Amino acid sequence: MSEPEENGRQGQDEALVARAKEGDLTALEELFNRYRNQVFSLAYRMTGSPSDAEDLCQEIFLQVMRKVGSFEGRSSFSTWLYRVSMNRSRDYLRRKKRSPEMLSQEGDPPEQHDQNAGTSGGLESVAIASEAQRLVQGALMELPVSLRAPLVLHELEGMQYHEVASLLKLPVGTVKSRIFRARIKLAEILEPHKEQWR
Amino acid sequence: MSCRRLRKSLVEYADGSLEGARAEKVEAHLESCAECRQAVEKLAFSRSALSGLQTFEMSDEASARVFGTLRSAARGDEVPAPSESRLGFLWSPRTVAVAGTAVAVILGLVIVVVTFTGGKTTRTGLNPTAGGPTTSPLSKTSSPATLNNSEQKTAADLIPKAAAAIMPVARVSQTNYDENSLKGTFDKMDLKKQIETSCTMTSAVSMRDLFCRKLADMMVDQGGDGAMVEAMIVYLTNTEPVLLPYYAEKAMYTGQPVLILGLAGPRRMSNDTKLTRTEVWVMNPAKFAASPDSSIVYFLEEKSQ
Repeated sequence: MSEPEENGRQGQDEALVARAKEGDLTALEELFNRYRNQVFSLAYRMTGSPSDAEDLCQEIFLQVMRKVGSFEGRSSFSTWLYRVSMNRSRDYLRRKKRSPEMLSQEGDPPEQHDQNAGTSGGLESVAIASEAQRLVQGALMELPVSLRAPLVLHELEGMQYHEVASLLKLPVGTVKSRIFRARIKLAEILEPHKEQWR
Repeated sequence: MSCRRLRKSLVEYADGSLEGARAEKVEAHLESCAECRQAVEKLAFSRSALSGLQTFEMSDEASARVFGTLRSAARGDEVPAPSESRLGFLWSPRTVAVAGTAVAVILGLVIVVVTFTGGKTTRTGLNPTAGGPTTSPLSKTSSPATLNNSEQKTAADLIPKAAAAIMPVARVSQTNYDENSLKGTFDKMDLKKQIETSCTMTSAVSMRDLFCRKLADMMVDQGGDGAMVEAMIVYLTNTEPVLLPYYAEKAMYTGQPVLILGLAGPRRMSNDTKLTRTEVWVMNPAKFAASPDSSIVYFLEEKSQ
Protein backbone atom coordinates (compact mmCIF):
# COMPACT_ATOMS: atom_id res chain seq x y z
CA MET A 1 0.00 0.00 0.00
CA SER A 2 1.41 3.42 -0.98
CA GLU A 3 1.88 6.14 1.62
CA PRO A 4 -1.11 8.26 0.49
CA GLU A 5 -3.30 5.14 0.48
CA GLU A 6 -2.05 4.24 3.95
CA ASN A 7 -2.76 7.76 5.23
CA GLY A 8 -6.21 7.66 3.66
CA ARG A 9 -6.95 4.34 5.33
CA GLN A 10 -5.75 5.65 8.68
CA GLY A 11 -7.98 8.69 8.31
CA GLN A 12 -10.97 6.49 7.57
CA ASP A 13 -10.10 4.28 10.56
CA GLU A 14 -9.98 7.32 12.82
CA ALA A 15 -13.40 8.44 11.67
CA LEU A 16 -14.81 4.95 12.20
CA VAL A 17 -13.21 4.68 15.65
CA ALA A 18 -14.72 8.04 16.63
CA ARG A 19 -18.16 6.78 15.59
CA ALA A 20 -17.61 3.42 17.30
CA LYS A 21 -16.79 5.25 20.52
CA GLU A 22 -20.23 6.86 20.31
CA GLY A 23 -21.75 3.39 20.12
CA ASP A 24 -22.33 3.34 16.35
CA LEU A 25 -22.63 -0.33 15.50
CA THR A 26 -22.29 0.20 11.75
CA ALA A 27 -18.87 1.81 12.34
CA LEU A 28 -17.84 -1.20 14.40
CA GLU A 29 -19.07 -3.49 11.65
CA GLU A 30 -17.05 -1.55 9.09
CA LEU A 31 -13.91 -1.87 11.25
CA PHE A 32 -14.62 -5.57 11.70
CA ASN A 33 -14.99 -6.08 7.94
CA ARG A 34 -11.81 -4.13 7.24
CA TYR A 35 -9.65 -6.11 9.63
CA ARG A 36 -11.33 -9.47 10.15
CA ASN A 37 -9.12 -11.31 7.64
CA GLN A 38 -5.89 -9.86 9.02
CA VAL A 39 -6.91 -10.71 12.57
CA PHE A 40 -8.12 -14.15 11.56
CA SER A 41 -4.92 -14.91 9.67
CA LEU A 42 -2.79 -13.83 12.63
CA ALA A 43 -5.00 -15.87 14.99
CA TYR A 44 -4.68 -18.90 12.75
CA ARG A 45 -0.90 -18.58 12.60
CA MET A 46 -0.76 -18.36 16.39
CA THR A 47 -3.22 -21.15 17.20
CA GLY A 48 -2.88 -23.49 14.21
CA SER A 49 -6.60 -24.29 14.03
CA PRO A 50 -9.47 -22.55 12.23
CA SER A 51 -11.91 -23.06 15.09
CA ASP A 52 -9.46 -21.71 17.66
CA ALA A 53 -8.74 -18.81 15.33
CA GLU A 54 -12.46 -18.04 15.18
CA ASP A 55 -12.78 -18.17 18.97
CA LEU A 56 -9.76 -15.95 19.31
CA CYS A 57 -11.10 -13.49 16.72
CA GLN A 58 -14.28 -13.22 18.72
CA GLU A 59 -12.32 -12.51 21.90
CA ILE A 60 -10.18 -9.93 20.11
CA PHE A 61 -13.07 -8.01 18.57
CA LEU A 62 -15.05 -8.14 21.83
CA GLN A 63 -12.02 -6.65 23.55
CA VAL A 64 -11.78 -4.00 20.83
CA MET A 65 -15.44 -3.15 21.27
CA ARG A 66 -15.09 -2.87 25.04
CA LYS A 67 -11.84 -0.91 24.99
CA VAL A 68 -12.30 1.32 21.98
CA GLY A 69 -13.47 4.07 24.32
CA SER A 70 -10.04 4.15 25.96
CA PHE A 71 -8.18 4.16 22.62
CA GLU A 72 -6.53 7.57 22.59
CA GLY A 73 -5.16 7.47 19.07
CA ARG A 74 -1.48 7.73 20.04
CA SER A 75 -0.80 4.91 17.62
CA SER A 76 -2.76 3.96 14.52
CA PHE A 77 -5.85 1.84 15.03
CA SER A 78 -4.21 -1.07 13.20
CA THR A 79 -1.18 -1.00 15.52
CA TRP A 80 -3.48 -0.95 18.53
CA LEU A 81 -5.52 -3.78 17.06
CA TYR A 82 -2.38 -5.86 16.53
CA ARG A 83 -1.37 -5.22 20.13
CA VAL A 84 -4.77 -6.32 21.40
CA SER A 85 -4.59 -9.34 19.08
CA MET A 86 -1.17 -10.44 20.28
CA ASN A 87 -2.07 -10.01 23.95
CA ARG A 88 -5.29 -11.96 23.54
CA SER A 89 -3.45 -14.63 21.54
CA ARG A 90 -0.89 -15.15 24.26
CA ASP A 91 -3.59 -15.34 26.93
CA TYR A 92 -5.63 -17.72 24.78
CA LEU A 93 -2.65 -20.02 24.30
CA ARG A 94 -1.89 -19.91 28.01
CA ARG A 95 -5.44 -20.90 28.88
CA LYS A 96 -5.30 -23.63 26.27
CA LYS A 97 -2.05 -24.96 27.65
CA ARG A 98 -3.51 -25.03 31.14
CA SER A 99 -6.80 -26.62 30.03
CA PRO A 100 -6.14 -29.26 27.38
CA GLU A 101 -9.88 -29.87 27.09
CA MET A 102 -10.06 -26.47 25.42
CA LEU A 103 -8.21 -27.99 22.49
CA SER A 104 -10.25 -27.55 19.41
CA GLN A 105 -11.28 -30.18 16.97
CA GLU A 106 -9.09 -30.47 13.96
CA GLY A 107 -11.00 -28.90 11.15
CA ASP A 108 -10.50 -28.26 7.50
CA PRO A 109 -8.03 -25.49 6.83
CA PRO A 110 -9.69 -22.14 6.36
CA GLU A 111 -10.19 -20.56 2.98
CA GLN A 112 -6.94 -19.53 1.38
CA HIS A 113 -6.50 -16.32 -0.43
CA ASP A 114 -4.37 -17.26 -3.41
CA GLN A 115 -3.88 -14.49 -5.87
CA ASN A 116 -2.62 -17.00 -8.43
CA ALA A 117 -5.58 -19.33 -8.06
CA GLY A 118 -6.56 -20.79 -11.37
CA THR A 119 -3.25 -20.06 -13.02
CA SER A 120 -1.06 -22.64 -11.29
CA GLY A 121 -0.20 -26.05 -12.62
CA GLY A 122 -3.31 -28.06 -11.88
CA LEU A 123 -4.55 -30.20 -9.01
CA GLU A 124 -1.25 -31.90 -8.26
CA SER A 125 0.64 -28.66 -7.63
CA VAL A 126 -2.25 -27.39 -5.49
CA ALA A 127 -2.06 -30.58 -3.41
CA ILE A 128 1.72 -30.23 -2.99
CA ALA A 129 1.38 -26.57 -2.03
CA SER A 130 -1.32 -27.48 0.47
CA GLU A 131 0.83 -30.21 2.04
CA ALA A 132 3.78 -27.81 2.26
CA GLN A 133 1.60 -25.24 3.99
CA ARG A 134 0.33 -27.82 6.44
CA LEU A 135 3.92 -28.77 7.27
CA VAL A 136 5.00 -25.17 7.76
CA GLN A 137 1.98 -24.40 9.93
CA GLY A 138 2.73 -27.53 11.98
CA ALA A 139 6.33 -26.42 12.37
CA LEU A 140 5.19 -22.96 13.47
CA MET A 141 3.10 -24.57 16.19
CA GLU A 142 6.15 -26.41 17.49
CA LEU A 143 7.91 -23.11 18.15
CA PRO A 144 7.47 -21.61 21.60
CA VAL A 145 5.17 -18.58 21.60
CA SER A 146 8.11 -16.33 22.46
CA LEU A 147 9.68 -17.23 19.09
CA ARG A 148 6.49 -17.74 17.08
CA ALA A 149 5.04 -14.29 17.83
CA PRO A 150 7.94 -12.20 16.47
CA LEU A 151 8.37 -14.55 13.53
CA VAL A 152 4.71 -14.33 12.51
CA LEU A 153 4.60 -10.56 12.91
CA HIS A 154 7.79 -9.94 10.93
CA GLU A 155 7.81 -12.68 8.33
CA LEU A 156 4.12 -13.18 7.71
CA GLU A 157 2.51 -9.88 8.69
CA GLY A 158 5.31 -7.87 7.11
CA MET A 159 6.10 -5.70 10.12
CA GLN A 160 9.46 -3.97 10.51
CA TYR A 161 11.71 -5.03 13.38
CA HIS A 162 11.04 -1.82 15.31
CA GLU A 163 7.29 -2.26 14.93
CA VAL A 164 7.49 -5.81 16.28
CA ALA A 165 9.69 -4.58 19.12
CA SER A 166 7.22 -1.87 20.03
CA LEU A 167 4.28 -4.26 19.85
CA LEU A 168 5.88 -6.97 21.98
CA LYS A 169 7.63 -4.52 24.30
CA LEU A 170 11.03 -6.02 23.53
CA PRO A 171 14.31 -4.41 22.48
CA VAL A 172 14.91 -4.50 18.70
CA GLY A 173 18.04 -6.63 19.24
CA THR A 174 16.00 -9.22 21.12
CA VAL A 175 13.43 -9.31 18.32
CA LYS A 176 16.15 -9.89 15.72
CA SER A 177 17.76 -12.60 17.75
CA ARG A 178 14.42 -14.35 18.37
CA ILE A 179 13.60 -14.28 14.67
CA PHE A 180 17.03 -15.74 13.92
CA ARG A 181 16.44 -18.55 16.42
CA ALA A 182 12.88 -19.11 15.19
CA ARG A 183 13.97 -19.51 11.57
CA ILE A 184 16.82 -21.85 12.42
CA LYS A 185 14.47 -23.94 14.53
CA LEU A 186 11.82 -23.92 11.80
CA ALA A 187 14.37 -25.15 9.25
CA GLU A 188 15.46 -27.93 11.60
CA ILE A 189 11.87 -29.06 12.16
CA LEU A 190 11.17 -29.07 8.41
CA GLU A 191 14.48 -30.71 7.46
CA PRO A 192 12.98 -34.23 7.03
CA HIS A 193 10.47 -32.81 4.52
CA LYS A 194 12.91 -30.64 2.62
CA GLU A 195 12.07 -32.24 -0.73
CA GLN A 196 8.70 -30.43 -0.63
CA TRP A 197 10.46 -27.17 -1.44
CA ARG A 198 12.84 -28.43 -4.11
CA MET B 1 33.74 -10.34 13.56
CA SER B 2 32.44 -12.94 16.02
CA CYS B 3 29.63 -15.35 15.16
CA ARG B 4 27.54 -13.92 17.99
CA ARG B 5 27.74 -10.35 16.68
CA LEU B 6 27.13 -11.50 13.14
CA ARG B 7 23.99 -13.51 13.87
CA LYS B 8 21.53 -10.67 13.63
CA SER B 9 22.84 -9.77 10.17
CA LEU B 10 22.66 -13.33 8.91
CA VAL B 11 18.87 -13.21 8.50
CA GLU B 12 19.13 -10.16 6.26
CA TYR B 13 22.06 -11.71 4.39
CA ALA B 14 20.18 -14.95 3.77
CA ASP B 15 17.15 -12.95 2.56
CA GLY B 16 19.36 -10.96 0.18
CA SER B 17 18.58 -7.64 1.83
CA LEU B 18 22.03 -6.93 3.23
CA GLU B 19 24.21 -4.69 1.08
CA GLY B 20 27.52 -2.84 1.03
CA ALA B 21 30.21 -3.12 3.65
CA ARG B 22 28.07 -5.19 6.03
CA ALA B 23 27.39 -7.79 3.35
CA GLU B 24 31.11 -7.95 2.57
CA LYS B 25 31.94 -8.47 6.24
CA VAL B 26 29.45 -11.32 6.44
CA GLU B 27 30.83 -12.94 3.28
CA ALA B 28 34.39 -12.70 4.61
CA HIS B 29 33.29 -14.35 7.85
CA LEU B 30 31.36 -17.10 6.07
CA GLU B 31 34.46 -18.15 4.15
CA SER B 32 36.10 -19.19 7.37
CA CYS B 33 33.10 -20.30 9.48
CA ALA B 34 31.31 -23.53 8.60
CA GLU B 35 28.78 -23.07 11.43
CA CYS B 36 27.57 -19.73 10.11
CA ARG B 37 27.48 -21.10 6.53
CA GLN B 38 25.18 -23.83 7.78
CA ALA B 39 23.04 -21.24 9.58
CA VAL B 40 22.69 -19.27 6.33
CA GLU B 41 21.54 -22.43 4.54
CA LYS B 42 18.92 -23.03 7.23
CA LEU B 43 17.77 -19.42 7.10
CA ALA B 44 17.44 -19.56 3.31
CA PHE B 45 15.44 -22.79 3.59
CA SER B 46 13.11 -21.30 6.19
CA ARG B 47 12.62 -18.25 3.95
CA SER B 48 11.58 -20.49 1.10
CA ALA B 49 9.20 -22.47 3.33
CA LEU B 50 7.60 -19.36 4.82
CA SER B 51 7.23 -17.59 1.51
CA GLY B 52 4.81 -20.28 0.30
CA LEU B 53 2.33 -19.54 3.08
CA GLN B 54 -0.82 -17.82 1.91
CA THR B 55 -3.08 -15.42 3.70
CA PHE B 56 -6.09 -17.05 5.28
CA GLU B 57 -9.50 -15.50 5.13
CA MET B 58 -12.33 -15.77 7.58
CA SER B 59 -15.27 -17.59 6.03
CA ASP B 60 -18.54 -15.71 5.63
CA GLU B 61 -20.20 -18.11 8.08
CA ALA B 62 -17.53 -17.52 10.73
CA SER B 63 -17.72 -13.75 10.15
CA ALA B 64 -21.49 -13.84 10.60
CA ARG B 65 -21.13 -15.84 13.84
CA VAL B 66 -18.48 -13.53 15.29
CA PHE B 67 -20.21 -10.31 14.31
CA GLY B 68 -23.50 -11.71 15.61
CA THR B 69 -21.81 -12.11 18.99
CA LEU B 70 -20.44 -8.57 18.81
CA ARG B 71 -23.91 -7.26 18.02
CA SER B 72 -25.37 -9.15 20.99
CA ALA B 73 -22.67 -7.79 23.25
CA ALA B 74 -23.31 -4.25 22.02
CA ARG B 75 -26.98 -4.69 22.92
CA GLY B 76 -25.96 -5.82 26.37
CA ASP B 77 -27.07 -9.41 25.87
CA GLU B 78 -25.17 -12.15 27.60
CA VAL B 79 -22.28 -13.14 25.36
CA PRO B 80 -21.74 -16.88 24.92
CA ALA B 81 -18.29 -18.29 25.46
CA PRO B 82 -16.55 -18.47 22.08
CA SER B 83 -17.02 -22.14 21.41
CA GLU B 84 -20.66 -22.11 22.50
CA SER B 85 -21.60 -20.71 19.13
CA ARG B 86 -20.52 -24.02 17.65
CA LEU B 87 -22.71 -26.45 19.57
CA GLY B 88 -21.22 -29.39 17.79
CA PHE B 89 -18.01 -28.87 19.74
CA LEU B 90 -19.84 -28.97 23.06
CA TRP B 91 -21.27 -32.38 22.31
CA SER B 92 -18.27 -33.88 20.61
CA PRO B 93 -17.29 -37.30 22.00
CA ARG B 94 -13.99 -35.92 23.27
CA THR B 95 -15.64 -33.07 25.18
CA VAL B 96 -18.16 -35.43 26.73
CA ALA B 97 -15.39 -37.84 27.67
CA VAL B 98 -13.30 -35.09 29.25
CA ALA B 99 -16.31 -33.72 31.14
CA GLY B 100 -17.26 -37.22 32.31
CA THR B 101 -13.75 -37.89 33.55
CA ALA B 102 -13.65 -34.56 35.37
CA VAL B 103 -16.97 -35.24 37.09
CA ALA B 104 -15.80 -38.72 38.10
CA VAL B 105 -12.55 -37.35 39.55
CA ILE B 106 -14.35 -34.62 41.49
CA LEU B 107 -16.93 -37.10 42.85
CA GLY B 108 -14.11 -39.45 43.82
CA LEU B 109 -12.31 -36.70 45.71
CA VAL B 110 -15.49 -35.68 47.52
CA ILE B 111 -16.13 -39.28 48.57
CA VAL B 112 -12.55 -39.69 49.82
CA VAL B 113 -12.65 -36.45 51.80
CA VAL B 114 -16.06 -37.23 53.33
CA THR B 115 -14.95 -40.77 54.18
CA PHE B 116 -11.81 -39.66 55.99
CA THR B 117 -13.25 -36.63 57.77
CA GLY B 118 -16.72 -37.78 58.59
CA GLY B 119 -18.03 -34.85 56.60
CA LYS B 120 -16.22 -32.19 58.68
CA THR B 121 -14.69 -29.26 56.90
CA THR B 122 -11.04 -29.87 56.28
CA ARG B 123 -8.12 -28.22 54.52
CA THR B 124 -7.17 -30.48 51.66
CA GLY B 125 -4.97 -28.12 49.73
CA LEU B 126 -7.50 -28.29 46.93
CA ASN B 127 -9.59 -25.22 46.36
CA PRO B 128 -12.74 -26.33 44.58
CA THR B 129 -13.72 -22.77 43.72
CA ALA B 130 -10.43 -21.79 42.21
CA GLY B 131 -10.21 -23.93 39.13
CA GLY B 132 -8.83 -27.32 38.23
CA PRO B 133 -5.85 -29.34 39.23
CA THR B 134 -3.44 -26.95 37.51
CA THR B 135 -4.15 -24.25 40.08
CA SER B 136 -1.37 -24.01 42.59
CA PRO B 137 -2.44 -24.65 46.17
CA LEU B 138 -0.47 -21.52 46.99
CA SER B 139 -2.62 -19.31 44.84
CA LYS B 140 -5.75 -19.34 46.92
CA THR B 141 -7.75 -16.59 45.32
CA SER B 142 -11.22 -15.33 45.11
CA SER B 143 -12.66 -13.85 41.99
CA PRO B 144 -14.31 -10.44 42.27
CA ALA B 145 -17.67 -12.08 41.67
CA THR B 146 -17.36 -14.35 44.68
CA LEU B 147 -15.63 -12.02 47.09
CA ASN B 148 -17.85 -9.94 49.36
CA ASN B 149 -16.66 -7.29 51.74
CA SER B 150 -16.60 -9.50 54.81
CA GLU B 151 -14.58 -12.09 52.96
CA GLN B 152 -11.95 -9.69 51.66
CA LYS B 153 -8.52 -10.60 52.92
CA THR B 154 -5.17 -9.07 52.35
CA ALA B 155 -2.68 -10.81 50.12
CA ALA B 156 -0.61 -11.75 53.18
CA ASP B 157 -3.55 -13.67 54.67
CA LEU B 158 -3.95 -15.70 51.54
CA ILE B 159 -0.44 -17.08 51.44
CA PRO B 160 0.06 -20.28 53.42
CA LYS B 161 2.24 -19.89 56.47
CA ALA B 162 4.54 -22.75 55.66
CA ALA B 163 5.08 -23.16 51.98
CA ALA B 164 6.99 -26.25 50.98
CA ALA B 165 8.64 -24.48 48.07
CA ILE B 166 8.94 -20.95 46.82
CA MET B 167 6.19 -20.29 44.32
CA PRO B 168 5.00 -16.98 42.89
CA VAL B 169 1.51 -15.79 43.71
CA ALA B 170 -0.98 -14.10 41.42
CA ARG B 171 -4.48 -13.09 42.34
CA VAL B 172 -7.43 -10.99 41.34
CA SER B 173 -9.12 -9.07 44.13
CA GLN B 174 -11.34 -6.08 44.79
CA THR B 175 -9.04 -4.78 47.51
CA ASN B 176 -8.67 -1.01 47.31
CA TYR B 177 -5.13 -0.35 48.50
CA ASP B 178 -3.53 2.87 49.54
CA GLU B 179 0.08 3.59 50.47
CA ASN B 180 -0.22 2.27 54.02
CA SER B 181 -2.29 -0.84 53.37
CA LEU B 182 -0.03 -1.82 50.48
CA LYS B 183 3.07 -1.47 52.61
CA GLY B 184 1.44 -3.40 55.44
CA THR B 185 0.49 -6.21 53.09
CA PHE B 186 4.01 -6.68 51.83
CA ASP B 187 5.51 -6.27 55.30
CA LYS B 188 3.39 -9.17 56.54
CA MET B 189 3.83 -11.36 53.48
CA ASP B 190 5.43 -14.70 54.32
CA LEU B 191 6.43 -15.26 50.72
CA LYS B 192 8.50 -12.07 50.77
CA LYS B 193 10.26 -13.27 53.92
CA GLN B 194 10.89 -16.71 52.46
CA ILE B 195 12.45 -15.21 49.37
CA GLU B 196 14.60 -12.87 51.47
CA THR B 197 16.01 -15.75 53.44
CA SER B 198 16.34 -18.45 50.83
CA CYS B 199 16.94 -16.85 47.43
CA THR B 200 20.11 -15.28 46.11
CA MET B 201 20.92 -13.12 43.12
CA THR B 202 21.89 -16.27 41.20
CA SER B 203 18.50 -17.83 41.82
CA ALA B 204 16.79 -14.59 40.79
CA VAL B 205 18.60 -14.66 37.44
CA SER B 206 17.77 -18.31 36.82
CA MET B 207 14.15 -18.16 38.05
CA ARG B 208 13.11 -14.79 36.62
CA ASP B 209 11.67 -16.01 33.31
CA LEU B 210 10.02 -19.03 34.92
CA PHE B 211 8.32 -16.89 37.59
CA CYS B 212 7.28 -14.35 34.98
CA ARG B 213 5.57 -17.03 32.90
CA LYS B 214 4.07 -18.63 36.00
CA LEU B 215 2.60 -15.34 37.19
CA ALA B 216 1.15 -14.67 33.74
CA ASP B 217 -0.34 -18.18 33.57
CA MET B 218 -1.82 -17.86 37.06
CA MET B 219 -3.30 -14.47 36.23
CA VAL B 220 -4.95 -15.89 33.11
CA ASP B 221 -6.37 -18.77 35.16
CA GLN B 222 -8.15 -16.20 37.28
CA GLY B 223 -9.53 -14.27 34.35
CA GLY B 224 -6.87 -11.54 34.43
CA ASP B 225 -4.65 -10.26 31.66
CA GLY B 226 -1.57 -12.49 31.69
CA ALA B 227 0.07 -10.87 28.69
CA MET B 228 -0.11 -7.52 30.47
CA VAL B 229 1.54 -9.00 33.58
CA GLU B 230 4.29 -10.45 31.42
CA ALA B 231 4.81 -7.24 29.44
CA MET B 232 5.06 -5.21 32.64
CA ILE B 233 7.56 -7.62 34.21
CA VAL B 234 9.66 -7.60 31.03
CA TYR B 235 9.59 -3.80 31.12
CA LEU B 236 10.57 -3.67 34.81
CA THR B 237 13.32 -6.28 34.64
CA ASN B 238 14.71 -5.64 31.19
CA THR B 239 17.49 -3.40 32.38
CA GLU B 240 17.80 -5.15 35.74
CA PRO B 241 17.63 -8.91 35.17
CA VAL B 242 18.54 -9.65 38.80
CA LEU B 243 15.01 -8.90 40.00
CA LEU B 244 12.78 -11.85 40.82
CA PRO B 245 9.08 -11.21 40.13
CA TYR B 246 7.09 -13.10 42.73
CA TYR B 247 3.74 -11.40 43.18
CA ALA B 248 1.06 -10.01 40.88
CA GLU B 249 -2.34 -8.77 41.89
CA LYS B 250 -5.10 -7.19 39.88
CA ALA B 251 -6.73 -4.83 42.35
CA MET B 252 -7.55 -1.18 42.99
CA TYR B 253 -5.28 1.55 44.26
CA THR B 254 -7.00 4.65 45.64
CA GLY B 255 -9.98 3.90 43.45
CA GLN B 256 -8.32 3.12 40.12
CA PRO B 257 -7.84 -0.33 38.58
CA VAL B 258 -4.19 -1.36 38.75
CA LEU B 259 -1.80 -4.25 38.60
CA ILE B 260 0.47 -4.58 41.62
CA LEU B 261 3.78 -6.33 41.04
CA GLY B 262 6.18 -7.42 43.74
CA LEU B 263 9.82 -8.06 42.89
CA ALA B 264 12.77 -9.06 45.04
CA GLY B 265 16.32 -7.97 44.34
CA PRO B 266 19.78 -7.96 45.91
CA ARG B 267 21.18 -4.89 47.62
CA ARG B 268 24.51 -5.26 45.86
CA MET B 269 25.68 -7.12 42.77
CA SER B 270 27.09 -10.37 44.01
CA ASN B 271 25.96 -13.87 43.10
CA ASP B 272 25.40 -15.07 46.65
CA THR B 273 23.70 -11.91 47.89
CA LYS B 274 20.28 -12.56 49.40
CA LEU B 275 17.25 -10.87 47.88
CA THR B 276 16.60 -8.43 50.71
CA ARG B 277 15.41 -5.54 48.59
CA THR B 278 11.71 -5.38 47.74
CA GLU B 279 10.23 -3.38 44.91
CA VAL B 280 6.48 -2.93 44.67
CA TRP B 281 5.17 -1.39 41.47
CA VAL B 282 1.59 -0.20 41.13
CA MET B 283 0.81 0.22 37.46
CA ASN B 284 -2.15 1.30 35.40
CA PRO B 285 -2.73 -1.29 32.64
CA ALA B 286 -4.91 1.08 30.61
CA LYS B 287 -1.95 3.42 30.17
CA PHE B 288 0.80 0.84 29.80
CA ALA B 289 0.38 0.18 26.08
CA ALA B 290 0.68 3.85 25.21
CA SER B 291 3.51 4.68 27.59
CA PRO B 292 4.95 2.29 30.19
CA ASP B 293 6.63 5.14 32.05
CA SER B 294 3.40 7.07 32.49
CA SER B 295 1.57 3.94 33.65
CA ILE B 296 3.42 3.87 36.99
CA VAL B 297 0.98 4.92 39.70
CA TYR B 298 3.09 4.24 42.79
CA PHE B 299 6.46 2.72 43.62
CA LEU B 300 7.59 1.34 46.96
CA GLU B 301 11.07 0.14 47.80
CA GLU B 302 12.10 -1.50 51.04
CA LYS B 303 15.42 -2.91 52.21
CA SER B 304 15.62 -5.46 54.97
CA GLN B 305 18.67 -6.09 57.09
